[in-house]
Amino acid sequence: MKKQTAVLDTSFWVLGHRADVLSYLFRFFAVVVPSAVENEIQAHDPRYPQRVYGYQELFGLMKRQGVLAIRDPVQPLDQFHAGEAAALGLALDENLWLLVNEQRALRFARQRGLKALTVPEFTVYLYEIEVLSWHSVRNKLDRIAANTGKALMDTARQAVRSLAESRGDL
Amino acid sequence: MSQSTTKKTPSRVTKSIRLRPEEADELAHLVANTAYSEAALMRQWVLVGMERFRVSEAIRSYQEAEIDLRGAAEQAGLPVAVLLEEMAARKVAVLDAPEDFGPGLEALRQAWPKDQ
Repeated sequence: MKKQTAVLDTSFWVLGHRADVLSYLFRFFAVVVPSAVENEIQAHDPRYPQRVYGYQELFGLMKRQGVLAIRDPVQPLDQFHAGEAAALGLALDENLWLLVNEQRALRFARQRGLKALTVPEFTVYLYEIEVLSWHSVRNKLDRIAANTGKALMDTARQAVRSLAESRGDL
Repeated sequence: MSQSTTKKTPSRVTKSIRLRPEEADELAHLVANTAYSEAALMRQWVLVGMERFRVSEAIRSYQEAEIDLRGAAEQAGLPVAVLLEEMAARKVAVLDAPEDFGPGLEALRQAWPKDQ
């Protein structure tokens, strides 16, 4: 399987960690991370300076293993804040996939013709190619339901259910 | 020899609040037999409340589309990743339009067909 290069946005990493799908990313993608996104992910919670969130620990671990490469855009996009400006800028500069889970940046990327991937889509795809079981995909979708609108979750769950019915997984 | 004209700014500013008698009694009861003064505890509660209010207001502004995610993080005084955790705890969606689900899935199917 030939990997393609994808640019990571903070929203995908945090929500992907919540869904527990990040370890599967590296089967498909060589993941590049702008410095501004790394800074957003690794920034400490000022209320609890000693706290290290799970998504931060995993990011540090993956970076040390050399599977997250830091790469910056020629020019971040003016109309966005630092992390998404850099991620969108780099994806546009090099016509790369964008891993994103926030509405505004997602819409902008798709309007510009980028291949943009969200956590619910990636999770459903993993079930579609039989990497995840019916039980596992439902569990992973449940984990991101708190951060995802009901109508979108219904669409994702229906896609999984249709597939499960056709496979006899139900 | 030059004279210093720098004014000292007070390290604390006094704010006062009015409590109903039963509230004042409860406060006194809470403080009794502790090492804290009423003033020190009230200051601590105000600071914690301000922090929570700042986060709540930032999330409300985001939900009402007055600001974007990073703007909300700035207003809340939190890193964007931490704000996403706060939003998950409060069941606030960062992705909610059903039409946003699909194009990425289709792109994956094209890039890596199932039988490849």
